[in-house]
Amino acid sequence: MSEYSEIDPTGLVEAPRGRATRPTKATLRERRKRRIWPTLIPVGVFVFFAIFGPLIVPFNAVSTNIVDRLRAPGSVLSNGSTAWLGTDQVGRDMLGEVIAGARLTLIMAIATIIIAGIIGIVLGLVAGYFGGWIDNVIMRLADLQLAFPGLLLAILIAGVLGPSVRNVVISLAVTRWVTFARLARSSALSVRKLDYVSAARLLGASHVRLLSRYLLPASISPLFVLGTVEVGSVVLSAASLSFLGLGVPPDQVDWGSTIAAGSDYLLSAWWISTMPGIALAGLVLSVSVLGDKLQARFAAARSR
Amino acid sequence: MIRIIVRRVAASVLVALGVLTIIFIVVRIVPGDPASLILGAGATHQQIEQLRTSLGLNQPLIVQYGEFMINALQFKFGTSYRLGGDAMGQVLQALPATLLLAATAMALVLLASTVAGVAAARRPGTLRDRAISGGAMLLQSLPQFWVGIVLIIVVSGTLHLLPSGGYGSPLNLILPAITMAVSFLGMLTKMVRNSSLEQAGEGFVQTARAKGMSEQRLFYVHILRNGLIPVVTLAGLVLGVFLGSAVVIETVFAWPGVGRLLIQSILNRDYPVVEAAVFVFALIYIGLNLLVDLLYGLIDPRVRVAVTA
Repeated sequence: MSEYSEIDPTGLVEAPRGRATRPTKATLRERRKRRIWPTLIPVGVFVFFAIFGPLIVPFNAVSTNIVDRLRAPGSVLSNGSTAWLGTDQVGRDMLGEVIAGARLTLIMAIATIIIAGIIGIVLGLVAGYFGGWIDNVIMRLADLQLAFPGLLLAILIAGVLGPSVRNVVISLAVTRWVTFARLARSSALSVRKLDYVSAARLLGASHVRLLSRYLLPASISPLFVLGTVEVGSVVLSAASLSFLGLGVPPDQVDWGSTIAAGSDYLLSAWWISTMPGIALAGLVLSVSVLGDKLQARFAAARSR
Repeated sequence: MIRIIVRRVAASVLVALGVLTIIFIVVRIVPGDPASLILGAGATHQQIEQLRTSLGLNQPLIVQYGEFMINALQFKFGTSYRLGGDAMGQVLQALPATLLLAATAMALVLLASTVAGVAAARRPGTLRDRAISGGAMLLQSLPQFWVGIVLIIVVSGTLHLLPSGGYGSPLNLILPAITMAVSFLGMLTKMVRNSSLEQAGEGFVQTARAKGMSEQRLFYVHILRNGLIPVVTLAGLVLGVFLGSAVVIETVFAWPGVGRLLIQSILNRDYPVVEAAVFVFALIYIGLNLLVDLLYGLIDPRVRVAVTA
């Protein structure tokens, strides 16, 4: 503690002491519940392995090692190393495969969220800001996409385009922008008549400036929360596409494609499908816990 | 009320037309030339030209679109390249299997989520409640196809209790139905719990309690009944989402429904069947949405008033 304080340079004001200022047990518990950083840890572990994992456990998707195929978890391979998660149907180490899958899965999910988010935010803000027929066209288009149950539209698009990482991202982004658009639109509707926006308009701000400098900042934090919440379901969708053979091409691996490859060996080599599935469930669960916390924090901040 | 019904039905018809348009754009325009796709790499230029003419691909796009729409509205999507026979006929043949699976899963979900949700809502904040709520979240995070695979490994492989796939006996139905139910079980359980708890704070509940009604009766007669309203409406939508997840689950369990037919047709570029299958799925989904919309007004008169006003 320094002797000089900016708030009270004279040092004369008596600091409030005693029980009244100490947070009660209930507030402490409440604060602990709201804390976000503990839920960031599991998500961080996945991100860490996705970024640095391939450097620690090297993996080559096109190499094969027939001698060591279908080894159980923990068995010692012919080159003396241990395959802690076993090996797959062509003798690749499952640990490396799961880690390589983490990278590709996360890349696809994040790219999808960013593209879907940008499309959705632009269309949603434009719809909410201009209203009228522009709003009608954009929002009816959104309704139309929701007439396809679940993954169906993504499956159709991915199937027609053929398997590749780019096409997975395209097909998922094209079907995911709607949620972002609805949120951006409702937020644009709620602020577009506020005084600070009207003032800027009177000063002669252009449509583009109003949208990007005045409406967008007002809606960015709920959209950010939505983006986090959506990661889990995008990861699941991408994995489903790969599982169906519509996702990544055969020379790349993600969790969905590994699970699909293992489904021919369910009764002889259970670990091939099981291991990436555990990783997948773990990632989705940790992201949704984080998303729930963010949502709760955001709702609390708003009601205050 | 009749005016509302007419308006909703008209809107649904428009959506169905829009769905057909999206199918036309995605399947007929995006992939390039269907004729060379059908014939494969070995086809001569002349063969391709012939097929293009017979498929009508040399006509202007707008004419092709008009013909597609007129045929589609009569459920004519052409002949399956792979299976032969009418594409829509193939889809309708596979439909009962999918509906059977979805209906069984639906019954499972409704039963289990009501029981679990009620158990959690009766004692909010207790260990039981937290265990159920946490379990619900875990179930929602599990990838469906992976749940199916684990069930096959454990139930069919290790325990030898049930067949790992196929169709015919009720035993074949159990594993795919559980798999389909699992992820929505979490969602609906949470919903039963939360919406019951919401009702518990309402004034009419306090009034009933003040009049001396037993907690037991209060919960089942007043709270749960109102708490189930949103669940009932969601159930219709869940049935639609089941159809979407049928593609994945039918593939895992070799279940001969529309979903498996669709994915095999996509992988074999058998586009008439793809178009027919997607259209049937979308039609059922649109129909369910419409039904839920209208039912909602019947169950909860407050909605009817709000819509008319």
